[in-house]
Parts: sequence; C-alpha cells; structure tokens
Amino acid sequence: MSESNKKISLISSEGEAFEVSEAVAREFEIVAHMLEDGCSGSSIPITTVDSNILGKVIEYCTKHVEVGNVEGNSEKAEKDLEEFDKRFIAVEMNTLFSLILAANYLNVKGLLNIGCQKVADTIKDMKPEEVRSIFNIENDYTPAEEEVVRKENEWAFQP
Amino acid sequence: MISQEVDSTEKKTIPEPPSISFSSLPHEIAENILARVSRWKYPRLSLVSKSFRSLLSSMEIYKTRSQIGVQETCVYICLELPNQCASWFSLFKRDSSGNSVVPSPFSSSHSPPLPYNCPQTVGSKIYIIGGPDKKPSSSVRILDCKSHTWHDGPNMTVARECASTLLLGEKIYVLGGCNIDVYSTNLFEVFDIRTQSWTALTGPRSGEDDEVSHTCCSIVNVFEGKIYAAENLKDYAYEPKHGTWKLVREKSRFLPRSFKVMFWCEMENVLYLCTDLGYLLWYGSEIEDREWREIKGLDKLRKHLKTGMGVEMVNYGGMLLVMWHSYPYHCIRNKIWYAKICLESRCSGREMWGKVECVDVLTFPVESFARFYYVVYLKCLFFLKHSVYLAFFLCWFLQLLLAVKQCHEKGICHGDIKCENVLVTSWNWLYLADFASFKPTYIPYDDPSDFSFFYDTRGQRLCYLAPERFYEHGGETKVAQDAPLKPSMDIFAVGCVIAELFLEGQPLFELAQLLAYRRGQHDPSQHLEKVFPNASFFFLFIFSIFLADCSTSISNHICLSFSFCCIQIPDPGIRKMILHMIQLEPEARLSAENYLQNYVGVIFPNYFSPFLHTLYCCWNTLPSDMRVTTTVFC
Repeated sequence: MSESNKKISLISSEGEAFEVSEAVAREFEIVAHMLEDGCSGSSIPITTVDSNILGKVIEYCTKHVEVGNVEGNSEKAEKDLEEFDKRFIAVEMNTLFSLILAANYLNVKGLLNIGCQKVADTIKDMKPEEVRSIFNIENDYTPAEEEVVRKENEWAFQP
Repeated sequence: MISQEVDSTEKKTIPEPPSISFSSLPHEIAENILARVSRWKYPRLSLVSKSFRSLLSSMEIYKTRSQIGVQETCVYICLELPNQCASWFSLFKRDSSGNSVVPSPFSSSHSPPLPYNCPQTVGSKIYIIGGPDKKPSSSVRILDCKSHTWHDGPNMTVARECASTLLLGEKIYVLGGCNIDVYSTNLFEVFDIRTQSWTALTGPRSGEDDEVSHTCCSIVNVFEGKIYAAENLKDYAYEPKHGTWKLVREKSRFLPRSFKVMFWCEMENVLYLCTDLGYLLWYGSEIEDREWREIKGLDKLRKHLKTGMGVEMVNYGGMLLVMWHSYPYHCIRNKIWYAKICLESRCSGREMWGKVECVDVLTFPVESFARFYYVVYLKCLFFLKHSVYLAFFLCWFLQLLLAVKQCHEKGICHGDIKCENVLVTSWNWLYLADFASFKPTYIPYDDPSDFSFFYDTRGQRLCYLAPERFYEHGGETKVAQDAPLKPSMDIFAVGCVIAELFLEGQPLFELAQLLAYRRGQHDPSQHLEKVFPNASFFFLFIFSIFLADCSTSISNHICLSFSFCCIQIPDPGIRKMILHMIQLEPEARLSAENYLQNYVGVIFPNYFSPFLHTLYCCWNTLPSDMRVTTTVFC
C-alpha cells in the first residue's frame, strides 16, 4: 500500500512540476524504467514535453490507473473508459500530434495507440489535398508524376 | 494532483508552438498511423506526397501492421479464363456503393493455372499446389499478397493433378491426384511451412483395400484438429500427433448421400456446407446426435443459391462469405454473386442462425470466366481502359464494317446496331447479332414509349438510331412505321458504335442529345475530339497476343515475324470517318463498301486487310452460320 501512495514529481519542459502517484508515473514506461533502475529521485524532468501536454498525458494515465484499480463491474468500467478515450482524443490536430509525440517519448502505449488510430481515422477518407492541408504537407509531385501514380491504380480513383 | 507554476512570467512569453507537420513526425509514428488505414485507401493516400508513397509502398508497413495487430481480410478471386489462364482480382470495398472487384495489382500472367481445389491461404500467402486436371505437376507456387509477387516453393515428391489440400496447424496436407499406381495413390504428403519442406506419409488405405478401389480418396476437411477423409463412402480420420489413420465410420457422414455437396468450409470448429438445393448446413461437435443441420433464417438466400452454380464459401473475418454464379449454359459469365452472412449460435448451441448482411453482384472486367463461353458483350470490355485495347478496337471496326457490308449486299438491313448487339469472341472475331427487322423503322419524335420499348430495353437512354428515323406527329411527310430500313440508317449506327469504342465506352449520343442533334442544336464533333489522344501504338504486340490466343504453334511462328513493326495510327482519319458516317443527311452517307474502299487504306495498315482477315478466314473454314453454332454451343 505504501508504495502506491508514494508521490513523484514530473517536471515539464517549462519547469512546471506535476505531482503524481507512483502508479500513475509508472504508466509512463520511460519513468517506470528509471524507477526500476533506481537512477532517479522523486522528481523526474520530462524536458521534451510542455506543461499543457504533460498535464493531459497525466490525466489520461490517472484515469486508466483508476479504472484499472476498480474491481468487478468490468464491462461498465470498460465502456466508461472507451467513452473517456473518445472524448480525450477529440482535440485539434496540433494537440493530437503533440500528444502522440509525448506518448511516443514517454512510451505510453495505450495513448499512442488511440492517438495514431484517431489520425488514421481522420485521414482515411480524405482527398489527398485535404490531407496535405491539415498536415502542412507540400505536394512534391509534378503533374506528370501524379498522373503516373494515378494510372498505377486507376480503380481507386473512380467514383 | 498539485501543479506548481515555477515561473508564471516565463510561461506567458513562450510563443505558440509552431504547428506540427506530418513530415516532422518520427518515421515510426507516421508508419504507425498509416498502417492503421485500410490498404484499399493506399493508392489515394499515395498521392499526398512522395514520402507518403514510399511509406505506403514499402514492405515495412506490413511489419508495423503485424506489430500493432492490425489485420485486414482481403478476398482474392481467381477466375479461369477461356484460354485456361488464371486472372486474379481482389474484392474492394467502396464506401458508397458496396463492394466491387479490381484487378489485382500483380501480373496475372505469372499465375500458374489453377487446380480445381481451393488454394491454401497461410497468413498473407496463397499456396497453389500441383497442377490442374490432366496436367499433373509437383510444383508449388506461392503468391505473397503483401508485395503481390509470385515465387516458387519446394516441389512435392510426386506430381499431382487436382489434389486435395488442407491446412492444419502450420502444415499443409496434400492427398490424391496421383493415380500412377496403388502405392502412389495412397501416398500423401505434408508441407511444413516453417521449415519449407515436404514429407511423404502413408494414406488411409490399408493393405486389404488395395484391390477394392483405385480411385483417389479425398480429404474432406479439418475438424477438431484431425483430418477427415472419405473413401468408398467410409470416413477416416488422421491424427497428426500420432501420424495414424483410423476408420471412423463405415457409413460416411462427411459425404451425406442424401444431397449433393457444393462446397465445404470450416470455421471455429464448425463445418459448413452448401447443398445443390441451396441449403446451408452446419455440423458442430457440440450437438449430441452429430447430424448436419440447417442454418436458420436463410430462406430468402436459399432461393438465390438454388440456382447458383460453382458455389464457394470462405471465412471472411468471422462471417461466412458465399459466392456463386447463376449462369446457365451458352452464356457469357462475368458476374459473380456474393452474400455475407453473420452467424449466431442459439439455444445453447443447438441452433445456428444466419443473418444475411448483404447480397450483391460483382462484375468482373473480363470477357468470361468459364471455359467454353466465348461470347461477350462489348460493354464489358470497356473496363479495360488500356491503350492496347484501342488496337483491338481497330480490328473490330474493320470487321464491323465488313459485317455490315455483307448483310447489305444480301439486301438485309440490321436496324438496331448497337454495342450490345456486336459480339466479340475471345479470339477477336466479331459477330453482328440480333437483327431487328421486326422493330419499327420510324418512331415518333414526341413519344418516347416506342423508343423505350424497342430500342432501349436496358433503360440506358442511349441512342444509336439515325435522326431520320424519328418523325413528328402531324408532320408534313406521313411515314409508315414499317417502311423498309435503309442501309444509310445502319451506317449511322455503325458510326455511333465505332465512336463509343474509341471513346472508351462513352456513348456518342444519349436520346436527348440525338434529338437535339436532329434539330441542329447539338454538335458531336467536340465530343469526338477525345478520340485518340495518343496517336501511336505498338500495334503488332497486340497481334502477337491474339494470334497466340487464337491457335497453336502456327500462330506463334507468325507472331514472331510480326513483332518488330510499330505503326502510327492516323487519328484524324477515324474522326473524319465517324463524322462522315453520322452526318444528318442520309443520302450523303456512303455505303459500307465505299467506306471500306475510301477510308480503310488511310486508317488501317495494309496487311490488316486483306491479308490478316483472309488469314483468319482460312483458319476458320466453316461457313458463317456453322461458325456461330460451334462458337456458341461448343
């Protein structure tokens, strides 16, 4: 019991400290490894993630740890968690990318999964132009090259 | 949770983070995202940028897929074409309009001919083992569905034709199809996918049975981890762990004699089969009496399946995907029906209920997929938007003119020449069908019902009728509806058909457009500008294809001598000719013979006619009528 009550401070890139329980901090695999190696004290700097995003990632992990601890009634809890994930990930693209990058860096698998899935769902039915505009991608095809790509799989471009 | 602001003033001065672009994401994240998108979206997404394309076309993305556990069921359909070649397609789910098929993006030409049994699928690989009927082979060809490439697997120990294969664990078992002697008939062998090696084993037949039968026994299915085989209506089971065969039943239950089995399929320890009366049955280990039972709730589907032929069933991500065609004899075949069925076990496993998710038809961009059915609607070929087909069109064009000339010489006018009535065999011989002398020559301009009834049975509102065939009620000239047809009317229709050919299936006139053209308010020449965007083709390459298609060794010989030339097709010639044929003034149109004389020299290469045409005629010595009979009914 005592272990789960232990508090750990996570310091964002702006130097802001977030105090969380060890169980939540362990959701960050990178932190979990540090703790296991015993190479860190009670405050861990997370230099690549800013306060806003770190706060969100902590919110995500806290919720998942909470639900994980509740015993019984698992079906409802799972449904709740799904709802939570859905709401949690419904953010604008920039934040979503920041969350994915943070999840990748901190190695929070669940968040990385839902983040990537959300992006995939967003782009899967988009036209190439739309994908370019939301991702700031420049079209580096010449019209002739584009035509070649279209020709390769003509069936995909028929209405 | 307590959050402390260490330095609040500093926070305010931090500018908005620059917007993150996709390209700044680490490679593995970009891959992680794209791996979650269906592969059917890849062609479209490849257009975003070059880096997208390279990500999506690399094999790495499939590794990522398996790492993050993304699976996608793809259905591949292989058709045997009349020339016995195999042609591969995949089932492609469109967002808007259900499923359709697309030619698989790998060269079907490397596909081995299909044996009659089902190829085995292991993960993303399709194994084709042995040869088709009467062509035994020990070869193993493997199609990798990720890269869409073929490669050879290690050969079997004996050559087999139409062998039964099945997958159990990580091994493929092959039995039958090898009737050289009693010993080899009984031999079966197993392919270990991990070690990629074959081992020969002994089949179910024991010594005393030897003289009883010389027929090969067939593997029925995998069920509860055992292989069941039926022979002489007895059931045998093979236990892979011990490597032994056991006689299970003297009276086969796997080959029920009361009905004819169309196809088998095993899913999650339940066997499914379809009978020739359209019943879908199931057989599970849970039910006490172990009898075949009907899947309930499929009465409507049964009516479909009853007329179905060549039924195939496949496990489609937990659903039962049934495919069949419903063609009678003497008919083109390019459509396949399919139904997706969700299965639900009820009454504590005693009943199986099926819910039909969808029933639809797939149209294949091939002429026909059975062996003896050569006749095809021209329409079907328009899916093949490939420049080489334009050269075929030229060949058909010439034949169409010759055909019209032949009937006009005999004093017969066709009256309803349209794409549907022009039939082309797989060896590119053209027939003009459905002569329509019974249809009215003249139809009222202001009453579309006659047009719909006689000339638009498919409801496409396309019109190939010459403008002078429409008359106005109460007009100055009174015409009898059944006045004789004139050759110039056919010429107009030929012009429309040819135009449609070269416009890759775009019709020249819809009814409304034709009526406007009749009034002088519509100009088709603009539309015709699109004819032949590219003027040159490697013409004789095509010839080598269809000569090879058409007959055996002689043709190969001839192909070689032809395959060096490249011919420029003078495109303005065709356009001019079409415009001449569809001009409003019937008297100004020439006869088919005159078109052949005046234009053919310009449009077609010299050897095309008369040399090739006569060559074809020599090969095909039968008179025209006999030829039709043999083509259609052989």
